[in-house]
Amino acid sequence: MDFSQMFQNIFRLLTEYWHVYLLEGVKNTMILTVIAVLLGTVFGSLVAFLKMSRFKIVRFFASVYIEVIRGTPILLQLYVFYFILPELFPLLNFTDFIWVAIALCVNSAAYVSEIIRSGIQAVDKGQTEAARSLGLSNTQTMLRIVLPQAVRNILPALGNEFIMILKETSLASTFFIGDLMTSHKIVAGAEYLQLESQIIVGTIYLCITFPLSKLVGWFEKRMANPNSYKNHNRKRALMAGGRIGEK
Amino acid sequence: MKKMIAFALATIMTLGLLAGCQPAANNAANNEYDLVAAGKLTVALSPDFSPMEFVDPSKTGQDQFVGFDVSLAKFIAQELGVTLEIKPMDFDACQAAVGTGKVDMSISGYSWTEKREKNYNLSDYYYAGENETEQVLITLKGNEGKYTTADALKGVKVGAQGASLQEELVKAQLPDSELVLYTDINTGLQQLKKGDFEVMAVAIGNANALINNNPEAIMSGFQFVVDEKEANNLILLQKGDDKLTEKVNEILAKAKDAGYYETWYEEAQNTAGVDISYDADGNPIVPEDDSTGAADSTGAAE
Repeated sequence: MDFSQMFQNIFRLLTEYWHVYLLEGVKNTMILTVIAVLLGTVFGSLVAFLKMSRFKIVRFFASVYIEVIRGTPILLQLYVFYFILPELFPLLNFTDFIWVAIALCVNSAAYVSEIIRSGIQAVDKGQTEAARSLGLSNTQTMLRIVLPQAVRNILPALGNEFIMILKETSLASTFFIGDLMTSHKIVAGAEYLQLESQIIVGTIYLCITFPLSKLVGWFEKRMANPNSYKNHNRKRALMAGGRIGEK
Repeated sequence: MKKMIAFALATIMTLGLLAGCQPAANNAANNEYDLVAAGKLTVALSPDFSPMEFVDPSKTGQDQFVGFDVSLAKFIAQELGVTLEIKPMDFDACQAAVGTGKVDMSISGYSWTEKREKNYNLSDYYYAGENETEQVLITLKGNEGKYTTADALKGVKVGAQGASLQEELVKAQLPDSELVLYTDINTGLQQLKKGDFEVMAVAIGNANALINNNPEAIMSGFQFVVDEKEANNLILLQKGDDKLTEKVNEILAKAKDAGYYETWYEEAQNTAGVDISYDADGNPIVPEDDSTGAADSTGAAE
């Protein structure tokens, strides 16, 4: 393989098509990711609570949804949302971009709901029991005692979900909806320079996900449970400094 | 919690209602040729196949799709008296789009195959310029004159796209060679460079566009024997959509009589930055200096 030729080609593609990659591709990838994660979180929270419902039938439907979405490839789901659902619901006059965004939301919601459910259930049962015995209602217990503690389990995992979805949007390029991988297909198709274009988009994806994963790591540290074994020494140091002891 | 159940049920019922409305909506969109969207010809194509269909990245929206098949689609829409809407997607998704009725037709460099005949309505052949008239083998620099005959290709690894015309040709005409399949032309080219196979079977038009951007690839000098079926392309329509198929065939005949095919192909090649002429032996002459296509800048440097 002629690497100097390859670098020349990469450089040429970048000078000629930078706007296709950066303006179009990155913009649409970010829009899709943000929509998928935001709506996915809202919808996913709903599903998480349905899954923890007292009623068996509600739990059943939530489980079916989660299992179907998590048990089938996302590419297949995209095909269903792109081809079959618009046929079934012709009154919903959405653009292809919206259908793909909905598919990603529905997919992300299933994963987010499991993140939220496990986050909530990881909170020690004693917390609920104590709150209930102090006379707080079920809702109060959930909102004031359990959820605030669950958030620190949930947020870092949500950050990772964001990174996952960002990479999974690349599958939407099957329908050329304008994300970063579509930019790659467009340029590679016009120029017959596959590897060069792949190196470019790969680098761009990395430039977006690396800072994000650093951010998630930082969050994780901040959110770490002071009562966990890992933070035992840190807590002791804090107490020795008197800042906790004073209270 | 009861509210939540009520909400979920309400949502399901609303969706059911919407689904129930389908026939009515389709009736509203009814028109002479029963097009998917009223007043619009919706065409699926896979724009990664220069010069037949590709994207001009300097343009946006519908204007960015260029190439021979796009010119043809525009002509068909114009003759039908409707506007054209192109839906770009991967090649296998294009066929699914016709099957599910998301688009009226797919014009994406299809050749005739038995399975396509069975599952779709196929139009008459159209002559896709020079793109498919010759099926050739390309190889890497340094192999000049090495693989010019079927004898010389005995035991040699030959790459071809899976489920393509080229795969059939290699099987039929080079039975003593070792067939290696690849997924798409671009990936095939990488495999050729890497050494997965020594030669690669492609249509002449694609070969020119490919060599133009990859100076280490050259024509091997071998050519397949092709007949009418293989030299031409056709359009994929929905099974049973006979009225539109008939009309499309009329339009194809009209384009042929008017001699549009050659013009479109030349246009497409110019847009793709391919500027290759042939000497008396049919070998391509690569121009030394090139001022037309920006795409050629490094190609000419080699």
